Amino acid sequence: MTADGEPLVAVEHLEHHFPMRGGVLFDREVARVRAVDDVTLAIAAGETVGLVGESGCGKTTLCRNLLRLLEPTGGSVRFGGRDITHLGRRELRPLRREMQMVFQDPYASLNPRRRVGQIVGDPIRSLGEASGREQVRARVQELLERVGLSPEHYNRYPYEFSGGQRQRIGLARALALQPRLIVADEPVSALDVSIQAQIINLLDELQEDLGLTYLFVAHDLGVVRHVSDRVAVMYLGKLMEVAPAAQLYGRPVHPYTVALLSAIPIPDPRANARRERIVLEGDVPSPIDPPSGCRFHPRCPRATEVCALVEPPLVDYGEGRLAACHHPVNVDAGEIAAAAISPASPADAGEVMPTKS
Amino acid sequence: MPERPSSEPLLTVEDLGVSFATEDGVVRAVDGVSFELRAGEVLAIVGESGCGKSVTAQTILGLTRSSNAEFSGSIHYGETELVRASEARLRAIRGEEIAMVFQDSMTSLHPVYRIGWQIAEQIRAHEDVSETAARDRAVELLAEVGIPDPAERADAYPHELSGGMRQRAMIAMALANRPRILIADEPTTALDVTIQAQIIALLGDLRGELGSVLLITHDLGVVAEIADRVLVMYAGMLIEQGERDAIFYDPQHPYTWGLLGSIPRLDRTSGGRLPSIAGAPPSLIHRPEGCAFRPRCPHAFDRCGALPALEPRAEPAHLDRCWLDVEAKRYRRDVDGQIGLRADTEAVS
Repeated sequence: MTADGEPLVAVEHLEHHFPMRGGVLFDREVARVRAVDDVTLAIAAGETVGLVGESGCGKTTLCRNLLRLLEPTGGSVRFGGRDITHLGRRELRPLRREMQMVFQDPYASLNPRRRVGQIVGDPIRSLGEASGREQVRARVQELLERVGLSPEHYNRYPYEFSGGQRQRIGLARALALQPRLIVADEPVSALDVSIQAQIINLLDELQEDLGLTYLFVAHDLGVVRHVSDRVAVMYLGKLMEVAPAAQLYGRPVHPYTVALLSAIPIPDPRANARRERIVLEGDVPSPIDPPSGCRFHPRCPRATEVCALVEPPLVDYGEGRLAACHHPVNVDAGEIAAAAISPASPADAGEVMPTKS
Repeated sequence: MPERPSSEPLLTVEDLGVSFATEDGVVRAVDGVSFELRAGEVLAIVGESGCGKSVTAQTILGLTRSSNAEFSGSIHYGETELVRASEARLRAIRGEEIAMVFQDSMTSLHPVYRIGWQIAEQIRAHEDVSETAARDRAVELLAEVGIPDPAERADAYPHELSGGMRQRAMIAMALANRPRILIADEPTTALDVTIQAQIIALLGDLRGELGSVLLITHDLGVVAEIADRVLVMYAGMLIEQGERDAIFYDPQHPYTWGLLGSIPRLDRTSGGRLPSIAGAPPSLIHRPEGCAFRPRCPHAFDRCGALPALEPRAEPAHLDRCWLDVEAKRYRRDVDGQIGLRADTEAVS
């Protein structure tokens, strides 16, 4: 938490709609991709929030808005207590050093024509305190050591490194400006399992030593469970469920979370055979014309009439468990009676409280 | 398809070696790999990038042949030896007897032909049937793999289908000539988890019709779900081979322990560091002398300078390449009650 008890970063009712343009004579908007549609989420300092969902659910768009690489089309973004929703380039510049990103593809996210020393040193030269060749060099070598590379790697090119090592270079670059927030977008999904574990451990270590705050985006729910304090589940631009990791994995409330968890085969044949598997039918619908009511209803095994008509509000079940579902799982009648609609609930959502089915 | 007793192998790979000449030197992608694929089984080959699992699978169908490739050993399919078979003989086998499903359905389907046409073409390449009959079969196949409105979807181009639907279409195409062996190279890796679950369920449903499946994957969850037997590869060599449960519950090679231990599990609460494997896989140009895993293995000792043979050490049907004593292995692979690779051996000795 920052001094005044505010979360480090928070998005409120964040919307990002991409216009689709077309038309014969006049350039006009023909449709909108509702990539992120009214999402509210706060991350406390020092916390790791995992963000999961399938391709096209809006995870990456949410991250890019939160980092202000995109300007939201609705709602607000606050960083360190300050509203940064519509700040201009120049005003954002000093904030850039406080929030950094680590990308999925360690091959595409490093400039192949620049040496490691330049890649990691550039942010220091352009935004950092260090100046002068020797000072920058010393700082870069210190960073390389910090992420488990050797200072001698300073003059090498990215192609000389393996995928795991490149991801370490990406981390060193992100750490160069001593950021408070790191948004890691699928940082380990391109890596082999043995290397993946090394990078996850490194992320853990860095957080402990430097007090970093992470937003960790991934589709691998095993990885997310391992790293996250809290987990947010998105589907078609909406938040389906947010809960502390132990709760989300132990007692998932939203049927989509249940389905996601059950879809993943675990590397244990006997435990796998014991588990109840839910195989969802069909594909994720298009975010251009999303389903009415609850966006998950066409694929949901528990859907009823109300699900197609009314968008379910995000309901707070206490202990930080929030879910947007008319027919929640793993909550009893008492918990539903004690629950209340969260202020984080989308503006368009109905006021209908969930029922036990 | 005639039923064979399960003891008789459908495919026998013996001492297979594949190397590629490159500017930097000779890459020994596959070295001394021997295994059998039995009728009706799902055999998984697991390992990390560059371990030679895909090269092994592709060599079965002659897909690795090129001017810089060199082969040794043999692959017997019935009477035919595939490594040295003529291109014409291979063409007759591909699709008809042994079919393949690839990871990336977008690049494996032809972008400018309708999928129904592509499947029908596959049928007509091996069977003398009319265009209409082939088209009808294609629609049936699409229905069989769970594509809704198959008659309409047959007229779709690959880009009009979602990733999961394209993967289903690929499976339909692979099944078109009722092959006896299906080679699936990372069939679910590019898919979202809920779609992956659909494809795994589909492969499970089709098992009776698929004959034998050779599944190439890095995902041990998928292996736990559908494989009967497992081969583990490292640096171009087989390092362990056994029944699925033996691999998961009584793994013999430290690399297998490391693989199993380094997966973050969604059914376990996170506690501290994941037991990872230090370092990175070796270069296939300069493979270490002796056991290739030795430089990364905390349990290595002086004997590891010589390459151990792949032979039964724990059980008759469970082969591995590790010099450690079986009882010592069972003790050493335990990391806080779970199977894994220790970061150091201090606690062991």
